[in-house]
Amino acid sequence: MKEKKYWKGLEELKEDPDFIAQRDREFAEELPVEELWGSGAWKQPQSRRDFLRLMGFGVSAAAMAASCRIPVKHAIPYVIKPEEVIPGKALWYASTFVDGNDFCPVLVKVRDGRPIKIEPSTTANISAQSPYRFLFGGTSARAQASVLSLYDLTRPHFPTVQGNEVRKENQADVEQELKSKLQQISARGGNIVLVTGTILSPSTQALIRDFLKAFPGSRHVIYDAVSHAALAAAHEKWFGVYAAPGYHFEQAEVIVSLGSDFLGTWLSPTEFARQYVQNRKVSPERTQMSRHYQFEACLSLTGANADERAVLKPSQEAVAAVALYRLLRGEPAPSINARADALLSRAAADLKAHRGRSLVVSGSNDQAVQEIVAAINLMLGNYGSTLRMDLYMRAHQGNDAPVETLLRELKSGAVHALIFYGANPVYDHPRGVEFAEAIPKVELTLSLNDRIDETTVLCTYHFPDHHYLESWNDCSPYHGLYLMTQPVIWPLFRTRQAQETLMMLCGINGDFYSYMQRYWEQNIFPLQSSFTSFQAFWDNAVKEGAVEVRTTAAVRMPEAIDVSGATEAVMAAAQQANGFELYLYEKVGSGNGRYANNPWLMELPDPISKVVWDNYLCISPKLAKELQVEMDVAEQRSDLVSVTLGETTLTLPVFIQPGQEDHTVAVALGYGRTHAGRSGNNVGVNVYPWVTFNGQHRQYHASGVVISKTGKKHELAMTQTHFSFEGRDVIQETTLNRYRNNPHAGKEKKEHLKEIWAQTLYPEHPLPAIRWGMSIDLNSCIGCGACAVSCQAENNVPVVGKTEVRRIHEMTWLRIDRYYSFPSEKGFVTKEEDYDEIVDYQQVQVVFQPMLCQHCDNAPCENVCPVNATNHSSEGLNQMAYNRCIGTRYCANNCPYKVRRFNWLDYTTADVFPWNEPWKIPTLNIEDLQMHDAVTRMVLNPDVTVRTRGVMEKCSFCVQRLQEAKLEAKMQGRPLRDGDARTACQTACPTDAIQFGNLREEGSRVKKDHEDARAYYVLAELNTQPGIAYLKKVRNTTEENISAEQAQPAHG
Amino acid sequence: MTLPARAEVSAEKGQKLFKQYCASCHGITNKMVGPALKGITQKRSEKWLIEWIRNNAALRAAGDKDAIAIWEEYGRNEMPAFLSLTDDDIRSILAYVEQDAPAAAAPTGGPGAAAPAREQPTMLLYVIIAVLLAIFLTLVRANMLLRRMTAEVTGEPMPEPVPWGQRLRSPKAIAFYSLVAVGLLGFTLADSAIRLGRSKNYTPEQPINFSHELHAGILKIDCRYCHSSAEKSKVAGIPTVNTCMNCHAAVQQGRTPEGTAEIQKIYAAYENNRPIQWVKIHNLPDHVYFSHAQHVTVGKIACQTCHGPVESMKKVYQYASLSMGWCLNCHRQTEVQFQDNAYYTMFTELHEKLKKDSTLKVTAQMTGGDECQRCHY
Repeated sequence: MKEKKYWKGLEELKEDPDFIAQRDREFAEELPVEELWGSGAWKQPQSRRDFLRLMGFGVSAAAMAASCRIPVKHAIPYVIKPEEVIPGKALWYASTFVDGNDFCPVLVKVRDGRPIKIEPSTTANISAQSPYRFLFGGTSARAQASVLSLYDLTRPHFPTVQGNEVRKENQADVEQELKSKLQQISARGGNIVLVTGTILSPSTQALIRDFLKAFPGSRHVIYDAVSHAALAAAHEKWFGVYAAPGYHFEQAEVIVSLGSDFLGTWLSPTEFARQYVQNRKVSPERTQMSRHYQFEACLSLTGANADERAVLKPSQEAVAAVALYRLLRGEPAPSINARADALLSRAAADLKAHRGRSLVVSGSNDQAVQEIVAAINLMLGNYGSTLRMDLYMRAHQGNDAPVETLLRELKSGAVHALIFYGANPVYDHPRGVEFAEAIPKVELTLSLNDRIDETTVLCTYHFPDHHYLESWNDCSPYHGLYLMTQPVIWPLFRTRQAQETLMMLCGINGDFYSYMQRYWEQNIFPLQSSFTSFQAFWDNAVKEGAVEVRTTAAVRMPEAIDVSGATEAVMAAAQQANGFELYLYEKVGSGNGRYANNPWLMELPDPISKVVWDNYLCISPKLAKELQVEMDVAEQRSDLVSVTLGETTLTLPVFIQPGQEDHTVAVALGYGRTHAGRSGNNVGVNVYPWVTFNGQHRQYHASGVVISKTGKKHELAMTQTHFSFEGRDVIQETTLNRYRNNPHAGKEKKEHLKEIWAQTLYPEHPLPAIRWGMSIDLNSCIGCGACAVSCQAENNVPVVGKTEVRRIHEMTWLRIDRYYSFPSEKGFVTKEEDYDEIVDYQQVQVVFQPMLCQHCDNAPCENVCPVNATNHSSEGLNQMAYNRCIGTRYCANNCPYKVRRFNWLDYTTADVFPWNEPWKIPTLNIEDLQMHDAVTRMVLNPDVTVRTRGVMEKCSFCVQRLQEAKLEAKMQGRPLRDGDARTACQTACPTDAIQFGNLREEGSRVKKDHEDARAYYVLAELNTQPGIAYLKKVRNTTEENISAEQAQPAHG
Repeated sequence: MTLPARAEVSAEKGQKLFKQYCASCHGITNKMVGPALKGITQKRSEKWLIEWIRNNAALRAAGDKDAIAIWEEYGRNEMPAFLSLTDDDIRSILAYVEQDAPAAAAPTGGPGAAAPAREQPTMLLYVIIAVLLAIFLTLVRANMLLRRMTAEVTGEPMPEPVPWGQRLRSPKAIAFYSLVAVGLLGFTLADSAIRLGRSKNYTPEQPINFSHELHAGILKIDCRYCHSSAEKSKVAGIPTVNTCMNCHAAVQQGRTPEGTAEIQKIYAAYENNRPIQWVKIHNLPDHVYFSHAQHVTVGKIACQTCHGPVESMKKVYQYASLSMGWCLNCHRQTEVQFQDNAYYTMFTELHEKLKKDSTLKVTAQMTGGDECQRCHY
């Protein structure tokens, strides 16, 4: 039987000769040996004098270096030490990451006054039954990276008037001037508009109400860059609350998503991911699993995790909603395409069988579609279980029509004062150009944004906001849940909390801390009964970072939702779609453009395309053939095409993406910033102008796109086939049915290898007490990348920039490999066949596999190191001693997992010799690096060495954390407990896919996982004896499509 | 006037009593809350002193002019009565006060003193080399003599002896010199390279001339009173100004005017809210992770093991080389708290061995203490 083939990119699937040649090379590019020989420099006879001269120079340089004085270092203690501070010991503060609509309760690790790491919050205030519990215990890549934004030198350093610094001594005057101008405008009946993003903070909402009262004639416009207003509007119409419901994927046994990327970018993805996997984890005790159907136009992170997936055009997502509605009612449904139709009827049957335990979600921003989806959920009795309107969501309050009204007013000169707070419409509104033209004409413009962004540069006054790690704030993402943000560092620059500027303007004395405390005392304290004194309540809230108040909102539950009007509107709109369709999406890392200046997120490979530092036009392989555009992976460049929609023509590189609908193209929003900061400027193309407005809400898809070749090429940094396994068998998967019948299926494969394992020339490593090990559940891993960013933050892993990534020089210790395969109905294909003829690239399946150092007991890297810089510890760690490494790179060449990273250049600027400074190296874009100035370096973890040029590095299993855990146990004189030592990737993971612990400890979680029926070792046949076991992926498909486990082992 | 030495009177006893009862307000040579006491026995009679010390209030009440004058002079600060002190006790205190030096222990340390006792083996080495060289030369001489004698016997012609001057300038000799020179140079280079960055005996000037000899040696303040984080953290911690102020709020006078001037620096730092910039002596390279807590709290290693006799250092210097070899040597030899700490229960095989052989020493090395990633990560 033929084996199922897994591949990372089309070039790997088709075994493109150029790609193979490139893959097989030791180095991504030829070493410049030929160049040197060719230059003749080596051919010239070397005279004895030259030799002596060089010798002399060398000796004197060495002598000079040796006679250098050791620099005097100072140890500067506090004058008066705060009681809780112990130098060298981390302090942990509960806080909440809030940035726009992103929120995540976190713990902030503070070392010697510097916040250096974000960890998920664990609080006693949220019970195991709490409906909000899945918000806790996991983080997103964005939350992980937020600590780097704090130290961003391109944050504003002081307030400005017309771009000029307001000096400290003048600030009071400037404030007075601003205040009186505003009062004058208000007094003469002028129009004052406060434009903000969604305000999650209840105290700030109260403050804004105070502000509006203080300035009669002012109003508040909530503007979200990426709008989900239709969802809120649909619920307002039928339930009476302008809000999205609280979703509870953990209750759902059948999930149908119509273009909603709820695991990646939709509403509260980290929380949803945590909910979602509750029903996805299988074990011998629990052989139940939810079934997830996804209907979408381009392959999203959510689609990649779905059990069943069908592609359709973006305009057909609405039709799919109608079809599902009608199928559930037993009516004839409109047809979309064969696969989608079949899947829709299967989904409908499944939904019917799981009333009250199912969930249908849609990513559409069309109110009609959202009404139909709400009707479906209501019909299925899901409201109250998988959707909670009584615990509705408070994020995404933005509404689209008022923003259009504001723009009209701005253009007609009807607005006299304009204040921005957390809103950047010049960049992210489709008519940003018109905003840019109108803003300078407004009499008074004030920006409270935390960046000097596209909108702020056009404003007269700028009072920059703090970073969230410098501020007091609160956050209420759901009805009944209050989170606390507390400052963990003194403000780095002369910024001020935006709320305090507003307080100054409306004449409220004191700081925002006391305002917030007053608000909590009056509004939140009375809602609870655990505390009788406010001080005790407040102290507890600050310590725990979260307060849950058990109240439910009063909402009216409709009997039924009449969708006749909505259906007609939807069907009519779908009819109008013509030609190629365009789909605009957000990236899991960089989002709507807010994080454009965060190099950790910009260098985090997109979970699906694995491209960094760019946005691009995703097209299907079939369309690429039609358009005759190419993408050359070996050379890492692709064709530039010019894309026209309406009046806007933009030039974008193409990226050929399997899993995409054949006549749909997709581009990520959030790129092409011009005032993001040093590393985010001019990266990619701004496609916000392609967002359309349908009279009610902004739409993120459109039809009638015209694409033409430009004949030019664009260099893309594509990491998908870097560190290729060269077709070796590294993935195992099964289906739920097979798993139920035989959980051990595939076990034989390991048994027969045990004989081989015994045959080794090398002595066994003694393991006196501990064998650190890890397990990674491929069924839980959704590929979000939080672990990768967490690893980068914990281990001082440098950012290298786009040019270096193109040379396969990225430094990430942990990468997430994304593999495609074809489902069985198309049969198994071998390399001899012409794929384009027989397979449908739209129907690819995806598996994510986090790949990091496997800490092999029989490590191939250890044996080849000539200087013993990498060797084995008595705890099973494959140790790397950086200062012993001489950079032969033999270890990297011998590592079958390709997880070793070499410092080709001085990415960390650790080298003190000025001629080695990175800005002198043409291929290094210093703006991309994050460790080259004293402020940004404050983010470094002081417990981990910063590696310099010429040194190999790799995952250490967070050895600093292991040492700390052991020390803690020793100091307390107790045995090490399971869960004491947790790696950075493990703690960051929102789905608990990664487990870590001692394999020699009886009953440890990781030992259990290693003995699980699903456990397998990657490339076990090489007898490397890895310390990481992967748990096979299980798909809950209705089709039988796996044969990998039945097939003979490839190397058997 | 010198006090007669009596059986019950001794300066030693006086020192104890002085510390116990007087030192918080009186210095010997310096004015504190009360006057400096040096020379007091010349100024006042022994009888008066005894009465004053035992109960000065009574003396004043009796109308003693001197007593009232002193009381006025020192701002009517009440000196407590010491009714429990016997006459001999008081005489002992006075005897101690009149001693010249304030009974400091003779300095035992100093940078030079820390030079290791390695000289002996080196000397022995030289002697052995000299003896071997002598034997070698004798043998060469004997060999030559024997050869000449055989030549005489057999009648073979003896080669013309080459003059020493010519021999020393022969190509062979030059090659030999070069070899020696290269060897020496190479050794020096390697040796200096290894020493690069090591700073044993480093004794920098500190912003405050703080004496560990006084604080740790004489006053016997526990190291961890000031370096409190040594028990909990990787760093031992330099005491913050408020730690100094715990004592120096009361102890305002040094034993010498210089000492008082040094103490003033603490107040300056405290009042101006400016931290004191101490010079760091023990510097480990950035790629070394060292935890004091591990060694002090878990390993129960005395501070002196690595830092040397700090209690006798007027000026602190780096006692140990802090080289990797020095670290490893200790890790190979030092026993861990294996039986006492429940953490080590998981070393089951070692416990089994220990059951069979109770003399077994479990060293840090046996629990992995000599591996790269214990210190380098």
